[in-house]
Order: sequence, then structure tokens, then C-alpha cells
Amino acid sequence: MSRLPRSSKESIPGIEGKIAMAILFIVLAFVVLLVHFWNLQVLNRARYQRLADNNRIRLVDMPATRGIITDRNGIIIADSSPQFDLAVIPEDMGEDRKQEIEDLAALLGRGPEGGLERFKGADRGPYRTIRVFDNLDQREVALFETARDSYPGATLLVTPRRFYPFSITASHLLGYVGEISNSQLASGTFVNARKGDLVGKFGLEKVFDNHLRGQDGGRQVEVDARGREINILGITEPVPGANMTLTIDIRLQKDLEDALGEEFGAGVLLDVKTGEVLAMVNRPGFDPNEFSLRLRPDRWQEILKDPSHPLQSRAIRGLYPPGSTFKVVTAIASLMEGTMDPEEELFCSGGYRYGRRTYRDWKPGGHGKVNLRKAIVESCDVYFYQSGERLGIDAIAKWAYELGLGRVTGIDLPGENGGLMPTMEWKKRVKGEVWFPGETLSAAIGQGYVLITPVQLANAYANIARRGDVMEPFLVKRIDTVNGVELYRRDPSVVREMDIDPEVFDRIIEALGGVVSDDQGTARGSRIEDFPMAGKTGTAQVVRLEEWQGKEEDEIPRELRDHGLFAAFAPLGNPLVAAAVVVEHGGHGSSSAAPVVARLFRKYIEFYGTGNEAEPGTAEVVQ
Amino acid sequence: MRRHLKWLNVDWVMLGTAMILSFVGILVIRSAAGSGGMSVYPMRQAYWLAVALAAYALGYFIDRRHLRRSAYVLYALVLITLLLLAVVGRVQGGVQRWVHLGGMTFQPSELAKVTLILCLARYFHKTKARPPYGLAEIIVPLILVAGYVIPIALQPDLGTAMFLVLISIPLFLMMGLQRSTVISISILAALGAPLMFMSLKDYQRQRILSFLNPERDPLGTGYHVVQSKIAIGSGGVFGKGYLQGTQSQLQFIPEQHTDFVFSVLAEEFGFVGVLVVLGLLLFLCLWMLGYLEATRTRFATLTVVGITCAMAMQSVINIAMVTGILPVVGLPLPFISYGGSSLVTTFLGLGVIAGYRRRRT
Repeated sequence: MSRLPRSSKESIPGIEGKIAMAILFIVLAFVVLLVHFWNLQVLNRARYQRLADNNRIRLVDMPATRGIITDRNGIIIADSSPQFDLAVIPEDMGEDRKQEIEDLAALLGRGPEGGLERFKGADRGPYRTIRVFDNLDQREVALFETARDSYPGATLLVTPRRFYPFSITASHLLGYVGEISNSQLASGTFVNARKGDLVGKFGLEKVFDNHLRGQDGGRQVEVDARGREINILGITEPVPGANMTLTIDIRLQKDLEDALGEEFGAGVLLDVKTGEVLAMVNRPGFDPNEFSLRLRPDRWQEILKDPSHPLQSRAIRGLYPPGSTFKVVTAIASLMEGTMDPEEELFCSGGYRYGRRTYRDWKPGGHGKVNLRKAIVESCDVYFYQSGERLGIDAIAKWAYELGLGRVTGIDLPGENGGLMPTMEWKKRVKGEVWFPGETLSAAIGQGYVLITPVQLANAYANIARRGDVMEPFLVKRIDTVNGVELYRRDPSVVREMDIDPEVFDRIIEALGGVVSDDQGTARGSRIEDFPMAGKTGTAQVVRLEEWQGKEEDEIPRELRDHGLFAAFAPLGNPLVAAAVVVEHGGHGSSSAAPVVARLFRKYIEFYGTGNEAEPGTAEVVQ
Repeated sequence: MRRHLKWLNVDWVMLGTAMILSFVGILVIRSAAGSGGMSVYPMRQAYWLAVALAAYALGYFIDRRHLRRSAYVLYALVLITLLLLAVVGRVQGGVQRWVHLGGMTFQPSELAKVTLILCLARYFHKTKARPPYGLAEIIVPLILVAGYVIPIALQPDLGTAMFLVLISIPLFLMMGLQRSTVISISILAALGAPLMFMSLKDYQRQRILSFLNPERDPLGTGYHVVQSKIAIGSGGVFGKGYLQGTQSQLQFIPEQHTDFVFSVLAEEFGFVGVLVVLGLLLFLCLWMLGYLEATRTRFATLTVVGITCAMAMQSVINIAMVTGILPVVGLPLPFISYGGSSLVTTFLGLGVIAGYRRRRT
């Protein structure tokens, strides 16, 4: 190279040096490249090897199916069904991607706006999977499958979704599921839950979430650059959630819901022998299926701001004055404390003068001469004003508490409210005032400060029906894994025995029977043949101004009308069921709540009989 | 008898090295193309290699005087083709850079690399001005360069356009430029760069930005380079084995049979494979420069230097590009990358150089 021909040398000055420079540059460039490759392939090989593995090896989630919830007869009331979402991988799509989204929307018969909105910004990550249309129904899935070849960039994603076939029915008991929030994740109460998991957010779905959720599995797969699975390297099967059997009978639940209709309120039906909840209805309700899908924020706000509070579990959280259903407490207290002889007759003139005030009876003309039985049957207020006066508030509270009022029942639902049974000490502590004796009179007929929940009321009457055996109402009968391993089981058990004499029960239950069977009884209209009922109506006053005093219920605006209550058990001799119903602003309990209970009991007989057929020997109707 | 001897005088070292590199290319293309719709590519590349050998022969046997005299004509022919393409060229993926001849397509911008060198060599061969040149004395060759660069940049094939500027620089430097000329051109280039950047198409600008920071958006524009580096790095010293590269077989590497073919090679054959191929390329370049011993004219010297430097630069730029040292500009790797135009042009250049020893025997 150094010895160039003469002619060349002359024609280009300094050519030799320049060529040497060129050679130097070329060799240098190659050396730099080699050093760079040494750095990449030898020094950093492990790092790039890991990146290459990350590239090709993916962990594909295999979500566990959530446990199924059935009613006591095995009817599925919460199911796990697959949800089909349409997704696209932009890299695999055609030239005009927007047009393709619009075509897909047209194919499904949907508007393209939502899909286009989700697709925005897809250019930045052409290899990412983007869900464009959620929750395709069977028809839409079929339509897509037939046209699939025209859309190589589109694919169906399958995820299990919670489905409640009875929609609104039992919604408050079941609750709903939703994506786990960051605070729930941090709380640690959701065992093994990961970001993005669906967890119970309300009701039994929440309480028993760790049983129902199951354990997600996963597949380790080798994928190509487009995310297509080439090879399965390893697999961890998901563990499905355990199945839960409830105590409720979905038919009775539905019937109670229908019986309440458009009214607001709550109803509870208990199995007296076991404490099982056969039905528990809150009105209004909500459709938990709405929550299983992506709930739009505006719809969530709409539900939250609904003045009728559809998410409120009134049966366990709603606080109502018990009204005359409470008189049974005053009666038992009087007998147990010996402040009242059951045969003693008091005179009711339609009002009772106490201090500087006259306490009215609901019946303007009065009931005349009244003994304990008549007072219960006709629901005489004046009689119980005087009973209460003799007892004092603390004695009333003691026996109310003994019966299970003003305290939680221990039902297996979250957020049960204990209600309120006032005492002198309570008023001093909370209100900072002394108890006025006149307030005892109100409390004796279930007004004033006394507040109960419908489930307490039903359970108190069931406790009476069991003649003193206290049980906790419950909804979850058992939880079993899909392989049949029992994880949870609730057997009926008496948690406490009330300190009440059998003769007192005899007398009280007989009188409660009279409420329905006597011609003067306040619930005479709700009598059922062959199924003698013991019950008590109640009309809980809503605080209102003087101007409405004495007016008929239908003349008063609805929101100021009284709440109607009815609590009962049946049949008299061998009680099987107990119920309590509250109809908000329904007016008199006898006309609003009692017919609902009667209808429910009839439905119960239809499915389970009157009990006489089963054990004819023990059926002993007391009249 | 003499004719027969001529045949024996073929530079077997040069041709052999080029053939080895080309066969390596076909091998890697086979791996990169996979078994899908591109599986015909290695066979097609083999056909092109036959055409390339014919081009080598053409460059080898053509009379040197004829070559020199026809340099302007060749330049003009390619220029006319480029201009025709700009006007009536078929649109392919938004870029007009192919000539369709029967069933074959050819990229005239590839051919332009050789004809530009020949044309510049021809100009400097005859010019009466004495180097080092001032600005005024290089106006004509600059116009010759611009004549190619502008229509190609408008295709738009910015990578090739810039590369044509680049390969003409050694010719100017060989002749010698005045210090002031070098400085003023450098200043002009520095001032022009931002203007150039502004006039780029959006995807071109994205490429440059993602070159500056490839991890900026690893699933987006920087994806190519990141994946290419992963492929190379994970190859290690001995590679993952032929057809065993996970990055290439699962198609994580973009354009893996053309611009990024070297990543596939590096992944499957490792540092050893890289060393061998880079060694062969460097050896070939130095061997080609050895022909300067045989050149007797300015034209011949400049042609040998120009073609060799062009090949060296193209190799270095392509490999620097796949390792993330330089931005992705879309230049194929000589011999290895899939593409007939590049292969034919490269062999034509080799043939032209080899021809300078033919007449000595």
C-alpha cells in the first residue's frame, strides 16, 4: 500500500498519509464496535438474558371462580359466569385502526364512542391488549366469532364475573363484589388478595370473602412478540372459591319482597326452631349485577344520593320506634316484677292524666274496663301507661333487654345496629338530663327514645315463641369447598335462657293469640285458618306538628304518616316461624304490616305445611 | 490460453470472502425469516447472489477507460430513474424507492452509491484546479452530490440521502480541502441541522428522539433498539445456537431480516460469530485498499478509496445502529441483509475494484 505508482502519487498530494488515516479510522471504528459487543454480550449477558426471558415468558392469570351461593333448597342465587370482553392488539390491526374499531362496533350493534375512547393513546403501546367493548352477550359473541377472520387484531378475553340471577332479590344479604381498593388491599383483611382482584364489598360477599374468593392460578407461557402463546412452561391451577349455602328460601324471600311491593321498609322471617333466617327483605333494594360490571362513577353517585337509601339494610340497621309491639315487654315486666295482677282491671276513658299532661289512647272513646289480656288484644295505651308508671323505666329496660330488644341479635351480617333501650343512667350520661317520669309512659308503649331494628323485633317474638330460649338468627348454613370439604357450619344453638316464668309465657302467648283470633283483636283481619297466630300490631308515631293531630292517616302527607309494624309467630301450639314487618309511613300496623305477615305465613304453609301434619300429637291449640 | 489465464487471475481471496459473508447472510436470513410467509426469502437471496456475481463480472471485465468515460452517463441514467420515480413511482408503504422490472424490484438509490463515487472520481480526475480546494472549486461536485441527495431525500429516504453525503466526504478529503472550507462547511451543517430536524416527518423525528433515549417508551418507538440490544446481549459469548434465538424466533426484533439482521446473528452465534463476521468485513475492506498499489490514475485511486470507504461506513453504521450507538436510519448491512439491490451494488463495487488488477497480467 505504501508504494504507490508514481503517477498516482503526483496526481494526489499527500495521498499516502491520507490513506493511512482512512485505514486508521476504519480499524478504529471496527474496534469500537467490537468493544461494544464485548460489553453487551460478555459483560452484561446475564442482564440481557433476564430481559429476554421476561420478554418471552409471561404469567397469564387464571382467575379463580368465586364460590356459588345457594338458598336452603339448593337454588343458585349468586353464580359465577364468564364475561366476554372484546379486546384489540393495535400492532395486529389493519391500516385504519379507528375504522376497524367502528366496524367492530357496527358488527356488535353498539355505538363506537366507548371503544374509540378506550383506544385513544394506543399508538404509544402497539403491543398492549386494549379492552374496547365489555361484556358481550351470547349473540354478540356469536357475531364476532363468525367475523373473526376479518379482524386479526381483535380477540375475546374471558373473565369470571359474579351474576345474581334473582337480581334485586336478597341483594342486601348477598351484597356485591367489586375490584379491591387500595385501602382494602392495605388492610390485610382480604387474605391473598392481589391488585385487580374482585372481592366482596358488602353483605355476605364481604363477610365470607376469604372463603368465597378462592385462589387465583396462573400459567407460565412463552409468547411471541405479538403476545401469542407459543408454549406452556408451567401451570398453577386456580382453586375455586367455596360454595355457600344460606338459610333463606328464595321463594319466601321473593314473596316477602313482592308483599312489601313499592313500600319502603323491611321484613324478617325466622325459623323458630333453629333461628335460621328464612327471609329478610329491605325495600327499596338494588341490583347487585350492576356492581359486578364496571359501575360508572355517575351511576354510583346516583345510588349514593338516592334519598330512599337503596343500599341501606333496614332489617338490621334501620331504627324504628317499636310502638305497640313493645307492649309485650311492658306486660312481661309487670308480671315478673309483680307490679300488676293480670286480672286487675283498669279503666280506660281514652286518655290518662299524668302530671300536667293527658296521655292519649289511640281509641278516642277509650276501652272501658281493661285487664292485661284485653289490654294486649285491643292494644290499650292507657293500661300500659299505668303499667309503665308502676314499673319505672329501668325495670322496663331490664326486661326489654332480657327479651333481646335494644341489643344486637348477633346475626352473621356486618353492621347490625343495636337500637336503643333508654334507662335513667343512659339519659344522664348521654343527654346530661334527669329522666322525667312522663317519659316512662311513652317508653311503656314503645315510643319516645325506644328504637329497635326489625330483626330484633322478629327475634324477640321468636324468643317468646321458644318460651325463653334465646337464639341468634343466622343466614349462613354452611360453606363447603368444591371437593366437599366442610369449611364452616352453623348448627342451631340456644345461647341464653331468659329468666321468665312459664306461667307468664302461657298468659302472654294466649293474649297474643287473641290479638289475631278475637273479634276485638287489632290483627283480626289477618287470621289464617289452621295456622293460629300470636302477634302484636304496632303503629310507631313519626314526630309531627300539632296541626296534624287527630287527622285520619290518609289526610296526612305520606312522609309524616306513622310506621306500621307487626310482629308474630305461628302456629300457637308449636311455633314454627316468627316474623316482623315494618312498613315505613304505612299508617296502622294492622292495615299495613299485618297483611304482609299473613301473606308470608300462607306462602310458608304452601311450601312447608302447618306443622300439624308432621307432628299431630304435639299440636295443641290454645284458644 | 490467455483468456484461460485471465480467469485464473480472479482475486479468489476477495471473491471468497465476499461469498462467505453472503452465505452467512443467507443462513441468518433463513433463521430470521422463519417458516411463515417470509420463508422464501433465503432462496430469493440466493438468486440475487447469482445476479450479484454477474454484476461483479460486469464491474470486473468492463474496460477501465470505458468505465471512466461513461461515469457521467451512468450518473445521469440513475438520476433520471430517481426523478422518474419521484414523478410516477409506485407508492410502496408511502415511500417511492423501487423500480419494477418484470417480476423484480430494484432500488436505484442503492445503485446511486456506486455511480456517485464514479462520477465524483471522474470529475476530480479531469479538473484543472490544484488541491487543496477552496469553496468555489468544489461547487460542481457538490451540485453532483445534491443532484442525488435531493430526490432521494424527497422519497423520503433520509437514511440513504445522508449516507450519500457521507460517502462523498472521503473523496473530497482525499483530494484535499482548504482549512477555511472545512470550517465553513461545518458551520453551515451545524446551522442547518435544526432546520433539517424541523422539516422531518413525524416518524423520523420520533426515531431520533427515541435514539437519544430508547427506554423513553420501551413499547413504542424505542422498542426496536431495546429489543435488538436484548437479542444481542442475551446471545452471550457462544450464542443461543442457530435457529435457537428466542428474540428472533419469537419475532421480538423488528425488520430482523433486513436492517436488524446483525442482531439475529449476534443472538444465535454470540460474540464469537460477531468477531468472525466483523473480522471478515474489516479484512475485506483492508484487502480492497490494497488495490491502491495497482491504481495508476486519479480516477482509479478515488474509485477504490470511495467504494471501500462506502462499504466500511455502511457496515459500521448498520452495526452501530442495531446496538443503539446510532439512530435507526434504515441502512442494510452489506452482504448479510436481505435485499437484492444492496447485494448487487456491493458486488458491482467489488468487481470494479478487482478490475484494476485484471489488466496487469
